[in-house]
Amino acid sequence: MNPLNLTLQLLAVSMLCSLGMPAYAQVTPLPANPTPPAEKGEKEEAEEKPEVAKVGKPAPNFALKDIKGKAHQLSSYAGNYVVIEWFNPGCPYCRGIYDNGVVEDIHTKIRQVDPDFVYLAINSTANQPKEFVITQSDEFLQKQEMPGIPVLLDYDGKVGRLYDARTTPHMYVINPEGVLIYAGAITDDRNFDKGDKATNHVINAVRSSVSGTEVAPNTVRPWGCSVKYQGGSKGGRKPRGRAPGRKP
Amino acid sequence: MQCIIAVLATIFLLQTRPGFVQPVPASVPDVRMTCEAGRESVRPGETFMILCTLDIPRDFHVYWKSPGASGTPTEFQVGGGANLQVGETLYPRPAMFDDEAGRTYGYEGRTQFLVPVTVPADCPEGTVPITVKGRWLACRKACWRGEATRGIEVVVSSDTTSDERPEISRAARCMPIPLSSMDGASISLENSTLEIRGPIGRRGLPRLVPVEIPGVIHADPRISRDGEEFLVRIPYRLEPANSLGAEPRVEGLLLFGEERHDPSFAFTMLIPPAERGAGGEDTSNRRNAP
Repeated sequence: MNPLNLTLQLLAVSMLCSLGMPAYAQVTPLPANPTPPAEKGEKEEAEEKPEVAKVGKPAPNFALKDIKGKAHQLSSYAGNYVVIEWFNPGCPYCRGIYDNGVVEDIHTKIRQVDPDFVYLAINSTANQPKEFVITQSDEFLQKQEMPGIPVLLDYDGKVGRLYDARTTPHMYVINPEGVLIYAGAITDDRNFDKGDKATNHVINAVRSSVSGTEVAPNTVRPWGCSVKYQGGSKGGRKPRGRAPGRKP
Repeated sequence: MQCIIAVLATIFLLQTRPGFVQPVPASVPDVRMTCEAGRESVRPGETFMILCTLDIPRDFHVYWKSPGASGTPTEFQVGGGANLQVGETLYPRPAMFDDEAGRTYGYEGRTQFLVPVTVPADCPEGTVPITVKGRWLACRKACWRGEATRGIEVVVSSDTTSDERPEISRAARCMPIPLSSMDGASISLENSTLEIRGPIGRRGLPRLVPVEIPGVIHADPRISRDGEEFLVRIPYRLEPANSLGAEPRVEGLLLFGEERHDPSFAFTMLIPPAERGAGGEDTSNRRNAP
């Protein structure tokens, strides 16, 4: 057999073997915390087990680029309220909070108490090509006439996992001191049929914080689609063993 | 031959290049909902079941009443005339699904739900129209919301009552039954831990499916063998500020075996006021029949 034949046949065999295996996109994330070379070894060790976001604790810092290429670092927004939405315009619930004016309501009502508050949409979706995620996000916000909302790309899901983001939408509120004061559902109205009777947990959290009262609830189970992380859903696999839970 | 191999190799190289991700199919899953009354006719004051069937396309799943890390519950809203009293939907034993965002609970394939409906004792005789609105979230690699409304009828008559359709009892066989019906089972609460014991049958140790209750945070459960018994321990802590008005309780299912017809047992235990204080100061052991 000539070498060309052999090479082609090996390629064909390896192709057949790889059918059905996921292929992951490569991304180059902006480093979350640029590290001086002298501290790198220690830092790398620390980054292996980053502390996951916890309500009542300082929100973990991160740095991501948005779909326009602008860099965003959470710590640079200190002094203002920051609302983070885990975002995926491919998810009907995520579209629903825009279509039904929930996000607009948040903007209107939080601006009344903090005109410079920051709203960040983080997209950790990786079940689509990266270019598609960018285009889809951009087109969606253009259509919603909310192009000013920056969509931060988290294609490798590192920030999503750092915040234990599970659903789209999954909301986080950070106070001007940088403390995470709310995590969870955006409202109590996942079917978008309560109208004015719906409770908006994000607005309530900011209002409570501004007035100096306890943020309650500060954690509500989020509803929506699962975040489509890299290496995500494989369909209906039914594992055995223990069901997971949260540590008390 | 060489040409074919070269084409296949080119496709392979394109498919595995960095940045290539298989696009998600854009087609909406065709989840089909059908509903029927469990009886053709009922007497005033009687309860009957409405059977709601979802035919879920291959590889998609919808969610249980407590969907887990993500998702939204499948729901059925029953309306109609005659002031019907509608009970809580009975959900069959769920399956578990794992992905990168966590574990969820739900259903694949043909799945049947039951909704108990009671006809008021003063209900006038005649045909009663009923509407059933179903809502679900169907997910595979992406998710789609779905809903459908179906109209059914039941005849209210004080003279006759029809037999229950056999489909109802078949559907009921997939429903969890109360833990109290398991011989030798016990449930107790101590030191902020729920403990369930019961005999180990031929299906081995159970698996736990927790129901998420606002303001009650479960830790990892421990499921072990203790002699001839299984022992399930569920540590929890309370966050009253996050309860959203729900009574604090520990609730869930124990699943035996793997198949949807295998036994599953439902338990729920209210956390008594004495256990609700910070740290659960009252450590009195309450061992109850489940």
